[in-house]
Amino acid sequence: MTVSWPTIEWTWAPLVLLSLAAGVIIAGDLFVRATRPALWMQLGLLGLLAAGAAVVLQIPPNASAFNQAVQYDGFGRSGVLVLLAGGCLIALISQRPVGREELPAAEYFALLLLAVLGLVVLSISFELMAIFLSVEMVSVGVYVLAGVRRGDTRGSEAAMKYFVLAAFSAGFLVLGLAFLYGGAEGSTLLGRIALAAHRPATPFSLGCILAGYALTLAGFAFKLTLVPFHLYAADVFDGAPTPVAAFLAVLSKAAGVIALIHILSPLRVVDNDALQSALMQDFTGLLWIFAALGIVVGNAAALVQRRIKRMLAYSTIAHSGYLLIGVLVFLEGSVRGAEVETAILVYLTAYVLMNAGAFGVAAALGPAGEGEIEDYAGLARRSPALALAMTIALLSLTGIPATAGFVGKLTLFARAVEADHIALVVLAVLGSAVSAYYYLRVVVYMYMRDSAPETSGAEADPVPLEFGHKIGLIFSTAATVFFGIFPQTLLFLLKIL
Amino acid sequence: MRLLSLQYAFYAFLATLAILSAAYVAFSRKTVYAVLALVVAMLSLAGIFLLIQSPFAALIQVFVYAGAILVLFLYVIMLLNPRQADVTIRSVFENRGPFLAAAGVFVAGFFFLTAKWLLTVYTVERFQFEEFSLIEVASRLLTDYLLPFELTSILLLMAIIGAVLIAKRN
Repeated sequence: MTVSWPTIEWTWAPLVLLSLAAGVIIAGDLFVRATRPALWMQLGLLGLLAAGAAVVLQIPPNASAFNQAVQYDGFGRSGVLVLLAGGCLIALISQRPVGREELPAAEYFALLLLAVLGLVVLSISFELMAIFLSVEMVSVGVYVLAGVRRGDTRGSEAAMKYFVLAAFSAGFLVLGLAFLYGGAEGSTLLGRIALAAHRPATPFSLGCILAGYALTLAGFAFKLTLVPFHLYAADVFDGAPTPVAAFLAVLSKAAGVIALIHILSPLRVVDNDALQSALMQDFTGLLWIFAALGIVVGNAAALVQRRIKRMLAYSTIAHSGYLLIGVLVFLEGSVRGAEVETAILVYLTAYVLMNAGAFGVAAALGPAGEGEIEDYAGLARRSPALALAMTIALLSLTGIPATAGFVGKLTLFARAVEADHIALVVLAVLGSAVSAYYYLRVVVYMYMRDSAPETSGAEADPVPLEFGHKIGLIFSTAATVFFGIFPQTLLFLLKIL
Repeated sequence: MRLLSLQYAFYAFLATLAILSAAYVAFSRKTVYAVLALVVAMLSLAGIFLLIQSPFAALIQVFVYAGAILVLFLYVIMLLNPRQADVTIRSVFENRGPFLAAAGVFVAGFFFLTAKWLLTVYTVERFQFEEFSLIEVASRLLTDYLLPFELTSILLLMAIIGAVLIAKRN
């Protein structure tokens, strides 16, 4: 009798490794008496890196698992890698705030890992229930992490606001997904929904699909802070601990865009189907409005912000607008899908790197870095390296050439021009020009203004930094510059990994 | 088809009841009444599940929601000071009678209009389960729906960790 060993399901490996790392952290906390933020951070990094290695080494593109519920298509697979890298950066910039404020470290990093797991599942799942559950995993993680500071009213307000509004938007999302389920005649797989969208069995199922997509879009619009659904963003980002705000601003948005592309792809016009293009017109019109409103409102509101994290919040709203241009071009189908997906991935990579840099510096400065923009005065003299990292991140967010942000905007807008969205591109470029004012204002404060005269002692000393925090900032800054100067290396990496 | 019209009447009744009691939950100032109205909403949803021939979902609805979760709600309300809770909860709509009535009429009308459609398309023709079996449910959960099943467990774990973390600080 031969014993057959179970073969390893490599397609499950990233999910198993992430939850395993979170489990080890939670269980390990029981046996370690002192709080050890560095240890838990390193374990979390190990889990994230192991998951990334499993994807790169063992999961070929277009692998699938769980009866097609999970598919590593080229877009989602690269997206997972970007998300895991972003997760590493956020773990690195978390150590200092967690240690300094004596937050419950093990729970913090375990929840962070599980929230990243939710993002990973979100960007590879092609099944409605998994999509909803992963969105909820991210939300539950953020509810807790946003309010993790003891006795901090801003943080509690942020957590409460996010909890109430995210629960409300989850209602829209789940109703939308239920309608899609009905439209696909009782299947939760996106592939079946695509079939039903192209050849609806009855007028009723067509109606279900339309209503389903409208409600699902509303649910995702909340997660992506698209403009009529953006009102919570500034308060939540401002109140939450800085790394959590970075998680919400960067990673949950990136995964949301990837999932939105997957979910809406059944609507994509593939052949000149009359029904299909009529269906699409409503949605592309809607996306056009979302993109334009995001660019206008995000940039205009960021101009008048006095607190750094509120400014960054509105800037991410503007960036969601730019990203939506990509989603719109993808859906219209006039440009090859793979090219648009690559452009979106390049943009997302740049977006993750530069925001990790900006939020990382804010996290390093502690309470001063979370407050008014005026508090950054004299930072160049106090900590030149931090000021330089912040400057590069902000230049990249503006889209100045020789930064990754420029490359991202260029590739994305080039696709939009190919698809004849001249008006949107003009709007986006104007928006970027306006954004230079509020981004560079921080740079002006750091380099050209002196800090207030009454600050002395510890306030004027260089900012002490943990090793991991330094690594995170150096990596994100160096990569922002490197990919800005050699954009083809980023394309090459996205292709081979 | 005679059965269909009977189903239709039941469905309309249950749907209206569910919506009205849910609205009561949202607008009531007394927390205990709100929870009791929530029980009614859950039970009428269970009735709708029975109508579309999924007895398992109906059973779970009664056991888990109407039973366990709402009892827990009641315990929490009893443990907190109910008088204090009454004071803090304020309705946004001060004059809520006409508003409730209008909302009820609107929603009930919507359901009357859509119900026939829903039931003809889905219950009578399409989703006819041959026989209800728990084994079937269990095996589907562990094969076809393994991923959502496992994700649910992780989601619950996160909720537990989060709840402990939030409760511990006080």
